[in-house]
Amino acid sequence: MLFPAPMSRVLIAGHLRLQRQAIEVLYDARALHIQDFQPPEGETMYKLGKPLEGAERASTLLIKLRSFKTALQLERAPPTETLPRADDVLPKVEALVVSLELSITGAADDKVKLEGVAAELRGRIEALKAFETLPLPLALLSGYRELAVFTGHVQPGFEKDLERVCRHVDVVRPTDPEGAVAIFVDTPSRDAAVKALLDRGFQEVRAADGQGTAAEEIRAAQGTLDGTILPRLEEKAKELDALRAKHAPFILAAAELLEMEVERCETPLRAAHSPNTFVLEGFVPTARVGEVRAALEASLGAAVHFDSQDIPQVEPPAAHGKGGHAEASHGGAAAAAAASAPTPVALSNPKSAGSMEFLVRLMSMPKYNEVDPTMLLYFVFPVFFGMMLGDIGYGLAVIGMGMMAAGGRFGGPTWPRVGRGMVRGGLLLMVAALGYHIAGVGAANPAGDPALVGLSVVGALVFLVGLVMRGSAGPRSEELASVGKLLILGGFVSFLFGFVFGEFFGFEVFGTGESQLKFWAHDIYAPALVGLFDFDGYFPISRLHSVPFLLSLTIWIGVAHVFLGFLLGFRNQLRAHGFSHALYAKGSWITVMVGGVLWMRSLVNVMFAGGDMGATTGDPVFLAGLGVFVAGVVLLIKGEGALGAIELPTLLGNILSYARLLAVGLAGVAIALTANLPLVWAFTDGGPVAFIAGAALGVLGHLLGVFLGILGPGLHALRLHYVEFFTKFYEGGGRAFSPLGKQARYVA
Amino acid sequence: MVDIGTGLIAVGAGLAVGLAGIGAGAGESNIGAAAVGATAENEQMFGKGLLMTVLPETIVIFGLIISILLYLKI
Repeated sequence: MLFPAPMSRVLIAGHLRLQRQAIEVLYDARALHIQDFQPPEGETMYKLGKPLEGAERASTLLIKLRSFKTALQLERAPPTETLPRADDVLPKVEALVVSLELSITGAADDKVKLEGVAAELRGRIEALKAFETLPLPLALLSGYRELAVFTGHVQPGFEKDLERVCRHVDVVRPTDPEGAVAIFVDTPSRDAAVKALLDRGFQEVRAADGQGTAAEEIRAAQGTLDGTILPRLEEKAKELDALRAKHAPFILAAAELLEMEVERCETPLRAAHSPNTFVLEGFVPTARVGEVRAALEASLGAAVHFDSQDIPQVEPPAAHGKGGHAEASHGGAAAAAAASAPTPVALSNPKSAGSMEFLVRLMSMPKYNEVDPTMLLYFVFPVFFGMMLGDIGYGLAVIGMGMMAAGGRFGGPTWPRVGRGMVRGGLLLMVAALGYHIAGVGAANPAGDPALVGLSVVGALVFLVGLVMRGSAGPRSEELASVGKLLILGGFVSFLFGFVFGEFFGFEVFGTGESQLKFWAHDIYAPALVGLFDFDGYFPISRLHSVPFLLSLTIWIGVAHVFLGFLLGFRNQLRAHGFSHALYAKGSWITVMVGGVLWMRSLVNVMFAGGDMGATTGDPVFLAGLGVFVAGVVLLIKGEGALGAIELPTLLGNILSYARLLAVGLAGVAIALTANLPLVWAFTDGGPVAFIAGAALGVLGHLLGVFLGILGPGLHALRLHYVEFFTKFYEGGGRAFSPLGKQARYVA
Repeated sequence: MVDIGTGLIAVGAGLAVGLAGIGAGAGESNIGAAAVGATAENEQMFGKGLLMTVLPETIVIFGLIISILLYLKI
């Protein structure tokens, strides 16, 4: 959980005749990450392997199947209800591909040609549009020897200019003033005419060829388009649809099976071949070594040699040069490869932490000997998110959006229908509330009318829940589903924090005065907390009115988080480089931090209490802190040089950075308060116009608040992890574990 | 009505975080553009790029602290 899955190096060797069988067993197991064989200098016995038989045939069939998929637009098709079985598909592949090739590619090519012709016709119609109302046949607009023709748009008043400079001018205007005008001048006056027209802002529109007038040509082209091309296009589309419906499951299944076959056939290219044997090297998770060994033995017996060696999660000693020579003497090429090729990393976390693994991978994969921070993220990220969003209503809204993003795994097939019904019901209720208000039934002041408030609120809730239900169906990409799950988790924790802060869409529903509920054992812990946090022990904690408490709380959270980061860094350095290195690299920072927290805290307390700062020199906590701090700085300079001390203000900045947990939260509260002003106005003002306008503005404001509430807290919680937490211990840059083989989606 | 001293404190609090934000934004814009370019060429650079982009954030945090300290004085 806290570390990547332990790996073992494996070596599989056998006679070349057994290669295909061995590869098939390994492919099905999906447990081997192959280490590509690279023949070292001067290696004569082992060469790179050759592909298995049948690779070419499978490849050609696969290319054809892929072209079918593109022609029928099956690239992102989901698997069908009943999957065809591999035994049914494989024997028929070649025959069916040949017969389908003619029909599918023929239909697809025809469709493309028809679309080309349609585009051409549409282009011609567009080009002729300007001349539609010109009463001249198109043929008369060009091809003169004695006349120069200009067609296009020009500012009014150009005739006088032309008559001045040209000997003969004739203008034909269209009946629609927006259309293009045709100007005829005698050829000798051409250049003068051009100049005069350009002065009047002439924009040329070229006339296309044609026999009749533009209007007739447009009608003809439109006629061809509507009469012949478009119906034939529809025919082809229907043909392709029929083909798709009939053959899609087979095509998808065959394509997938052949892809897998091609992968298997190309595996020997990564193995070492001697004249009679093959050797495959790679990594298998230690937990599955027994399983792979058993599978190979069950299929091939003792004829295949399987060897495995566990890899401990420390940096290989060969990297330090101390044990390098000893390692290199036995093992030869294998040991050299082990030192240079990093072990692939497979994260092993509970399935529910999948979205956090996505976040860790987004940064970079951990190295094999590092701590895997996924579980730490899993517990802390939602808390940061929840603390910043901290609102019951917004938490529910974010859960809803997360469900829509995560897609079809929530709820059954009836959800879209129920959702649609609820959307309509909700709208109906809200309209009823409006009508109720307009009709003047009930009290004049709507705020005092529980029926109206109840009706609109219930209507809104039903509408929103219906939207979520309707939008949660259907497949989603892996990344979107991960983001959705993150949002659901974050939204849930925000919902809980909403109770702590007592906020529902910005309204402080649990009261803001002094008389809120006491949390149990108040009398015991409150005095202790007052010393540390300035917390009076009353819940809910109104964010707007508890800034000093929340500020010190968030900074203490920062201290704790950064301290955890340093501890993990210390552990990583210890494992990799030994105690003294760890002490200088991370131990110094830990000491600096502990000392710094002690003396700064005393100083800040005195500053806020308005006391005499000189009195701190007698304070034992202050002096102890200062001493520890100086010791830490000495260690730091000794370990990293004087430049290390320059990083000290960075540490202060990193810890203070956690104050954003308060700041982003306050920003969200302010947006919610602003969005509530129109809402309150809608319900207290008294007119139906106020009701509609206020409700609309309030909803818009809250929509903005939810959107910013996802973006802001999400990004900042993530950034706190990436920048302030990970930099204290994380190196990353590991290689992901990608085993040979894949799970078939379109075949049973 | 609020007396002018309180108003000035409020203005000062706003300026503290606002100007710090402008400075940090001006600085981070170039770094961010370079970081995105580096990530487009090499996915591994995402972490380092993100880290360097947000380095000037510390200035804004200092501005925020001053702003909160001033706000508490109102």
